[in-house]
Amino acid sequence: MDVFSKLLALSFWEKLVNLHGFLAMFSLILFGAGIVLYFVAKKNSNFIVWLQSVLLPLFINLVLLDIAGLVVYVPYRASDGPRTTLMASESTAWLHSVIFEHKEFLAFAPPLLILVAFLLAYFLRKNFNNEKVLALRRSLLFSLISALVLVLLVSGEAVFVTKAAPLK
Amino acid sequence: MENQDTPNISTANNVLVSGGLTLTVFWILNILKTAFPMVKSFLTFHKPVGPLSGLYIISILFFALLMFLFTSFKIRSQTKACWIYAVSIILFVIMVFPPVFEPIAHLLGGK
Repeated sequence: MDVFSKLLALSFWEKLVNLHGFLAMFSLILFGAGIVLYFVAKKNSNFIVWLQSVLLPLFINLVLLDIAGLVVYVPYRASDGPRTTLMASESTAWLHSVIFEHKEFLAFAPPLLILVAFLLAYFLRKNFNNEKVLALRRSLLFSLISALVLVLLVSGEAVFVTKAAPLK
Repeated sequence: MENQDTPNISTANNVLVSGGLTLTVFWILNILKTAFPMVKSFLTFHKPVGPLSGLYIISILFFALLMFLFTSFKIRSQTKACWIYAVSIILFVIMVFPPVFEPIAHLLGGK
């Protein structure tokens, strides 16, 4: 039970950062399901509803992930926050000015790409495995894979910065 | 494959173009924000978050606006829509990388 009391003793920001990380990890399960269901729905269009049922929670997950990230950005930017710590030294300043900045901008894309993927699945419902919509179907897969790569990249950059200056 | 009139296909094309243009607007606004302090202060909707708040909000509103505007006309070529979308994603990833956009912003801002 000691572990629970220690978890509860964490500061609000530490809990939120952990939730932020959890949402990023959870999205990977939904990405996996989405990619598998894309190929299943390609064979049998009845499964398009399953694909939509994964893409919608994935979109919500990524929106929550971005909201948590923007909330955590407040203490990060505070005068005594990690940004100040990083910028104080020439050897770590690039972690904010390049890595963290890049992460914050890249993070905008995954929810949008998954919303596009969801809307494509929604509008193509009956025609999903029709050869006439091959390019649109490929765009859906491209959205899923691009969003997954961006989430992995953003997560990697976050870990990189957090190791140098954790939020407390 | 081109010139299909099925309403759902043209709507799907609209979604792709809206998504691509939104990503493009995001990186252009980001360059303008870095180049001009006036744009940066305009985009600071929420002071503790800084200009990132405005950048996100305006881009989301732009996507909604495009989706609304595209209801009045059809984009018929799915190949073109898909290419616009794919190129926009790749361009977005490149153009939000600070070593790429900062020199452009400094050039625009005359720094």
